[in-house]
Amino acid sequence: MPKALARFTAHFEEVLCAILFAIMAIVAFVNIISRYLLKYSLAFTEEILISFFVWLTLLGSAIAFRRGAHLGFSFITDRLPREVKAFLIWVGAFLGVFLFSCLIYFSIIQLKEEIELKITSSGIGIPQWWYTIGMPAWSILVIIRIIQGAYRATRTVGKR
Amino acid sequence: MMDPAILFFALFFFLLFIGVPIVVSVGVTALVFLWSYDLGIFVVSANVFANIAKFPLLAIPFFILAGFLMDRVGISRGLVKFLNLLIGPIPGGLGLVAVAGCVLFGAISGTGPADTAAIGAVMIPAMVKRGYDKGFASALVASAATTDVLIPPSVAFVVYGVITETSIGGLFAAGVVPGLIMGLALILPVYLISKKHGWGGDRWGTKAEIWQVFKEAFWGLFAPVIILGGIYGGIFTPTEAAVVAVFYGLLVGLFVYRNVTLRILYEVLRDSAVSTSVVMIIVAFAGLFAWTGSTMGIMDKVAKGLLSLTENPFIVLLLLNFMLLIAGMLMDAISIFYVFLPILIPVMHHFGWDPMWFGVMMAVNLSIGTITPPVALNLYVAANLADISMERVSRSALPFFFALIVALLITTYVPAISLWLPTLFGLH
Repeated sequence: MPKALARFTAHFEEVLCAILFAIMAIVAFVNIISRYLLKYSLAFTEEILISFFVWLTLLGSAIAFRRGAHLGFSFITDRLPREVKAFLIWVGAFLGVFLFSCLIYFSIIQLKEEIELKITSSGIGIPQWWYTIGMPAWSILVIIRIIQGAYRATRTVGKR
Repeated sequence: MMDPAILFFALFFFLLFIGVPIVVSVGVTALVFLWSYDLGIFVVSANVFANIAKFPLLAIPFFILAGFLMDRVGISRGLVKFLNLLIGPIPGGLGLVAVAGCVLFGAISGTGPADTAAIGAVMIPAMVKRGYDKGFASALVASAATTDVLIPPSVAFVVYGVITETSIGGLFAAGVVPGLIMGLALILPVYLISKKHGWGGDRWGTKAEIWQVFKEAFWGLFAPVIILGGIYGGIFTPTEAAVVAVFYGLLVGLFVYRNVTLRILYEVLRDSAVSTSVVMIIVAFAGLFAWTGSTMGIMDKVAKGLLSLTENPFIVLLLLNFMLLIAGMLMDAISIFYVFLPILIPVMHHFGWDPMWFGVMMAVNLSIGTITPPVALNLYVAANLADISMERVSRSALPFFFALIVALLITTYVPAISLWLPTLFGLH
């Protein structure tokens, strides 16, 4: 794989996160400006903000899973033999994959319903599934990063 | 068949103890019980989405972003330099600068670990250079940064306010005095320990120097005025204040310090997005956990069990403090809110306790949790910054832990300390 492509796949969600977050900040700021200076509330922008917030959470979680930055209680596992700890890391990863697979499964059901019933968003009036699709899509990324993170963590077990 | 309430918590703690990340532990526990008790597992997707997609919670990413940005452009450095010339030379002076710096930066940043990182990056090396013990310096910054949970803005209060439907602006105001008391409580151990070892600071600043540095620090000192003044002047909601703080930091970086590059912006956005997500993904799944527990009636049952032990409110409070301190050793504040509040809200109603004061009491408890190992986020950040072991920094944190316990008891048993400021602002 060419180096640039490898870099892109490795940091894809980091770039996306930063862009998404910047858009959120700008939308929120423009909203405030318009409310105070133009006396005109852009209340419909709220749905963009909170939906992007959900996306941001999933994308940022994917990064955190790869970096091993999610909070946990490692006091006991740090004191276990290396093989046991590695095993438990994979147990955690398996459960994580299970959790986000369930999220994907049920959000696709939700997505289908929203498409079939032609549900539109309450603010702007665009199809609601445009927002919902972020849940299964970014959850797939989370699953990939959970596996990557577990692989990395088991390789460094006991190297401290 | 075992009681589902016991099974529910047993499964969660089992997963937690075998090192499964908190978010996965709460999420999987919720899923298992939603499915096996047929509570409508189809809610999972909509519930997770709705737990995050709340407008008041948007204050969290923006306050985190504002804190990261203002630290990165050098506002924390400016504050520390200024304080150093004012109070540096007295015994333990640099320690006091660290405490005051954490409290002041706490009025910009929303989480303890971020405060530890911002002030610690400047103060730990500075203190070590002047002969302070490395363990002492790291433990002190970590302990002083606990005040950030109480000093507004505070991510913990945003979450507490959303769960208990309490005014977030009111909670912010309620945290100010207890936060200051925590800071003051730290002064005595800092002074005594430093005096014993003969640790001091730099020379006093001349008037010209102080003026010069004040001009540099001014933009940092002015940030809380905008954030808090905006909220209490009734101009901004807390979420709006957070957004304004982000752009204030950006403008200061662009035009005053002139050190913002696209690269820095990218890194700040990326890293604050990750910090936000670590909190918010817990909000998403711990919310599902709390919902599952409440729907099954588990939470009410545990609350009744707690009340059946004793009817004496003083003893119940003491028990709660003890329980929360233990929980603070095992988990982060946000998880604790979601796991314990569904149990504690009925208890709170039973005794007719004020939710604003109760939030402050919990926040003081949980902030102490960030310096009690094994799970001690502030200590962890400080130990990493100073490159020393968790054992060493934990040992050094002990005197500060006791000082903060005194502050905890004061806020627990004197609700007026928390409530007078929100009352003054008409928010209570």
